[in-house]
Amino acid sequence: MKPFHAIAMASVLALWAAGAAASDRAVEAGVRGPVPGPSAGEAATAAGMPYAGSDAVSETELAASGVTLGTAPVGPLPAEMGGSEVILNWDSRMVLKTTLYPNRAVGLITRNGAHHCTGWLISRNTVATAGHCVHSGRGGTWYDRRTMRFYPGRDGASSPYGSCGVSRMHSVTGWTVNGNRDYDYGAMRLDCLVGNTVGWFGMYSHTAPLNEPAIITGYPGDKPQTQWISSDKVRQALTRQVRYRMDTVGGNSGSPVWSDRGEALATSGAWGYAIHTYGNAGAQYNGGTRIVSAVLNNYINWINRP
Amino acid sequence: MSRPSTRPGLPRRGVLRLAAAAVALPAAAVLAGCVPADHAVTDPGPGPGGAAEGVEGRVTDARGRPVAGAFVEARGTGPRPNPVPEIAVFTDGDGRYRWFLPAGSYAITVTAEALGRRTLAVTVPHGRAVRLDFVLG
Repeated sequence: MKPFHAIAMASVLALWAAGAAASDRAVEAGVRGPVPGPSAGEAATAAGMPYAGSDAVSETELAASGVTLGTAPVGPLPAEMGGSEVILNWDSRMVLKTTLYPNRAVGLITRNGAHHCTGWLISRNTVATAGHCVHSGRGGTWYDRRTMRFYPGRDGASSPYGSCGVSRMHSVTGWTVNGNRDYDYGAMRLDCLVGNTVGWFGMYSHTAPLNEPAIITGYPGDKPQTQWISSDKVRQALTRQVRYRMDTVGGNSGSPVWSDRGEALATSGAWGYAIHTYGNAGAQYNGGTRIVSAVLNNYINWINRP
Repeated sequence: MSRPSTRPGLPRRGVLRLAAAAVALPAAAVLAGCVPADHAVTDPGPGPGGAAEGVEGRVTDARGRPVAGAFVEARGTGPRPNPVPEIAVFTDGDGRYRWFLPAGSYAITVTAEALGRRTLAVTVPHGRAVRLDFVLG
């Protein structure tokens, strides 16, 4: 290749990369309305919108997609959030029915068979999680996706929807190269379509999250792989982070910070607006990565990628 | 007046090429150095990776036997404690653990159901992992 051609190609590639990465184009993902069901091409049309799941998916279809079916039934809507066993500070309790939406759209991520992180479905086969759950950050390494699995609605030793492997992982250079906590977000593409059964969360860019109710559903590592839910409100809203007061521990990383946007779950669904990432994020608060428009755009691209 | 024997246009194309290269080279360099932090990346698959800073070590009981499945926790210490990425870290079958943590001071606590818990202080330097072993029970 002639030098000029190489330079021109490099320029075009650089321009393309910069243009693709800097896309802050507006995405209408915050529309309220009935929780939609999947349709033909649902991954494209439902990106960013929640879906409560369906038990109408055949075992044959699931088997073909790599899911190992469990035995627990799919629960009714709306979700009964949890029990009354308050044992932590603030408001944290063990989720009693992980087979209800949206609990069942939250899953345990394991690595080498051990508890690793939490993730939440945002499409039939895409899981949102923390960047540091897929990559160690700042010039470090990707975790070996072959060693990782996702268990939606895991409840101790019970895996009501089986588990899925990971076929692809995503993050951004702000985390993988710079290790910047503002960019600590990532995703996993599953090798199954379990979201069609358990549903998924909507995702939106909350422009004014201060004092917004904050709910975290996840898997704290000091509990035996059981799902816990904590609630507080956003006490600090930074440009790229939200902070709240909850008693989270290792294993909660990647949990959705979500709300029902003031409407019934059955009609509006569950919406995530941040990803829990850090304990002691500042001023005695824990914190998560805000889903600003650039973050939302990346997630939508990851959902829609073939 | 006869035309020059050389093909017309070549010198001009050469000048254009040089001019284009002069513009394209710095543009490419600037853009390459300014990749936005939301630039999406995908894992290339399993393979060797670079070193990362953090803590690694082994947990054993009083007789030197590895303690598997112990829960490892970290808490930032000092006047401006570091936030801690909330990954669940457990020891493997050989009692080993590894946790990528940014440089700073931490209190690392290891808990094993039958053997209790122990906390040790550690300072993680920039760019490498520091070893911290525990003996429980």
